Amino acid sequence: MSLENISFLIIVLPLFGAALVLISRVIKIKIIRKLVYYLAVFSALVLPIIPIYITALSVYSGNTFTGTIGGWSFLRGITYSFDGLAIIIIILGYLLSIPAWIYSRAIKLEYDIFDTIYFIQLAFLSAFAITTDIFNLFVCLEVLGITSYVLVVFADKPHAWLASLSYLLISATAMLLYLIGMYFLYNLTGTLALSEIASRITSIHGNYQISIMISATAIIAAIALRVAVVPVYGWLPDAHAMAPHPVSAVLSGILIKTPLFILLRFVIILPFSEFIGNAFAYAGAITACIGVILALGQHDAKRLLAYHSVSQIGYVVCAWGLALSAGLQTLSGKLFFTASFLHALFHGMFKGLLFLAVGTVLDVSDSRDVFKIRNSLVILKQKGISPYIVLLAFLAGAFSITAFPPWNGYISKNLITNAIKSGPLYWLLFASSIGTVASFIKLSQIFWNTHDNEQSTIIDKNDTCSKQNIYISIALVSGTLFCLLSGIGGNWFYKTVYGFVNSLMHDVSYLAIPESIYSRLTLLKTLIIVISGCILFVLLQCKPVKLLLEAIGMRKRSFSGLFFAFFIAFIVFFAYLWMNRILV
Amino acid sequence: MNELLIYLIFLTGLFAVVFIKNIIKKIFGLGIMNSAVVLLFIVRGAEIGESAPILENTVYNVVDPIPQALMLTAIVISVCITALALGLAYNLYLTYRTFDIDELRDKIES
Amino acid sequence: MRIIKKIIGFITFTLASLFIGILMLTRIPWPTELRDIYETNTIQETGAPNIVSAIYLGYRAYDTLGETIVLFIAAMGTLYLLRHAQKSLFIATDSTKETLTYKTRRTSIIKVIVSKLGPAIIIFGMYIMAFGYRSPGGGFQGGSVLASGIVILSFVFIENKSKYMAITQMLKKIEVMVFILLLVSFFLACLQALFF
Repeated sequence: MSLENISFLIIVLPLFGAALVLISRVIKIKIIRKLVYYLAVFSALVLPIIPIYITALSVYSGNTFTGTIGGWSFLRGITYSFDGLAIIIIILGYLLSIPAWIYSRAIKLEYDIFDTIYFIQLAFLSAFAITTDIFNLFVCLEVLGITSYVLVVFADKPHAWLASLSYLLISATAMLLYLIGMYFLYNLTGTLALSEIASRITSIHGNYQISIMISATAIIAAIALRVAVVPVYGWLPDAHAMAPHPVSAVLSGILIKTPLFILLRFVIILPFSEFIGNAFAYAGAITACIGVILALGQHDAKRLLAYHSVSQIGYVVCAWGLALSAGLQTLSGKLFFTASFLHALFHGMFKGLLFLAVGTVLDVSDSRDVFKIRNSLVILKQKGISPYIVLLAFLAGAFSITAFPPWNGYISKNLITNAIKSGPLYWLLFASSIGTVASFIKLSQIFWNTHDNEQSTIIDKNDTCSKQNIYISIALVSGTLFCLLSGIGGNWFYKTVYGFVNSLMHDVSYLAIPESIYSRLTLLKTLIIVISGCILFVLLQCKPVKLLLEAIGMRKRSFSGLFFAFFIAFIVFFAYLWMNRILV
Repeated sequence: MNELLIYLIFLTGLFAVVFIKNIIKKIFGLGIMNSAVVLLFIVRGAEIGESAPILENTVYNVVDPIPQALMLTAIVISVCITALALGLAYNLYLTYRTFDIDELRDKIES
Repeated sequence: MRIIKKIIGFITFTLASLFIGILMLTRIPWPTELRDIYETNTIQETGAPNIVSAIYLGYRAYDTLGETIVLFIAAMGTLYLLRHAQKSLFIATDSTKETLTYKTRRTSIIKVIVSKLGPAIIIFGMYIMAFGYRSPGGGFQGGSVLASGIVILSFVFIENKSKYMAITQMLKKIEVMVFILLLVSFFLACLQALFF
């Protein structure tokens, strides 16, 4: 088998696993059924690591390969490319989905259906990462979309149904705009392969500038909707807060970031990509701030985390946009891109961990309100779940997201902010960091002990609980370890990702993490952020501030608002491109 | 002229999805929009030829087959989305006895 | 406040649809390059006279795989939802229960017409499927006609809930078989690409 065929196993193996899960469903004999089921899990989650490793090694040494699926000649078939971008996204997907899957064993679900859909999603994550065909991109987006609608539905609550329906309606409409944008590009260039569109569009560019801008806007807006940038983030808090906890972890960790990085494949073919980068950088910084402000006013613990996802994706988008506006072939562009990806990876891990830890607490207590849940350590112990593991996981996540030194968030956040150095973007991100600290002090209240109400001492330990406990512990401990190790070994991660990003430009050189990350100045900055975060938390206890934030955070949201926000994004983005064209 | 008509169909669907409160009508709106997009591809793609893209002895000057093949995929995806959305709407209706999306949100969040 | 929001909504809607209009109404000569490539090469490369089928199942079969998986997941998700809707039927409060029963005011008109028309539709669908290789669009619309025939028949022949549940069970099995068939054919295609 050639290397390309081995690489395609990354997509085929999870699909094969999904099929085996379904086969195991109809087998009558229990032992064989279990055997087939374990084989399915093995082939979907463990086995693909081998082809990923082989492909990654090849790509890392500068040997990227492209071609058409099925071996048809160029232009006729669907083109793909296994390059650095594809590999880092595939690794991101696998790293985060394994702990979430382990955790999903601990909650009540229809496992066979859940697993099938989960594995298919995993397969198409890889398919999405490698495709360079504009229509195949659409199909993969639709598969990822429909799997996430169904996964949200698994929560079996009316709220989840409504969240899923809103998400479905808005993103289906956006995908139709994508099709119209694609229609125009095909009409103009007569091809569907992105590389070919790129080479043709520059020669025709002059005559149809406005239409090209609109079609680019339509496609970018449709993909940006999945990323949940301001102003099109409205669907995210509902869908992520209402999904089952492992699904929340996967949605927040993987599915809102992959479209952003894949968008790069489309954006770099456009003649005006640096303007788009600039727009995304500002949108990202504003997203970071707005996400935190909305999170501060939340009562529901998981919704608070979902708003933090919006805020953290803002950091990623900001760095991504700056990378694009600097140009990916320049050194600063590569550094920004590496920082952006590292934050996406680390955020996926710690946010997943937070969702799982907080979700565990929410499951055992009867309320979802941050201000009502107290003494959760005691309650957890009563339910037979190791309380200190949950606490440890929560603390690991909280320290990471607030950028405390040895944890991984410190590295990625400071990489981004140090690279920006100054200007409005820097201060927007700075303000959002302070807000994050305050918000997580607020969230950590759920572990505080109060003594005013006596706890009932009923202990209902049984077998299922201890089994549940094992799954929860494995998932949480592995996540915590990853957060710690990637924080300590940040240099290795940085070097590796930089190597992959470099291979996009067919260049093999490596770079160590900049010294300034551990410099006194950065540490001092972290200290300032933490102290001002504590001050902000105290300030938030004042009645008027609290009421104001709650009024903002809990304001009445309507369904049509989602669409208006989408249209506004569309119009503003187009107007921005148009202005730039006039000025240049 | 054709495009103008298709554009009007598309607007009808978009209007339904954005402004009409009934979920079922929103889902129909989605279907209408999708039909408009499909029509757009097929009608424009048929401009360059005269006969269907089936190669037999006397056939030449066929229409562009690519939009047709792509739209087959798009149609199926749209049907899937519609089915799932209707399933969700049905469940919501059984629980809250209403199709009004704002009313549903009020009832669920209260 | 609400009026302001409505006005903003209308303005943004109009502007956005204006932009979409520009995109839709721009007339550029349709490209012929790809059509010519397919016209000259399809028969030698795939042996299929129907170019649309050749693209759908040959050149871009990978898209079709994605599309079939979307269909599969949607079917699974919808069935899951409907099964859970059955559960929530029982939780419904007393006041709403009566409206939820399956008693319907159904006249025999539907039954008479459908039971005559249904088989005809199914046969017609099979005809289109069988001759799909030389009609525009391939066997695709044949499948749709066949499915609509089955749906119409099911209006008549599923009277009560127990039958409905039995059918969902059967659908679950069909679902499994179809997905396995799909993947087997996909693997066979992969193997063929690998070794031959």
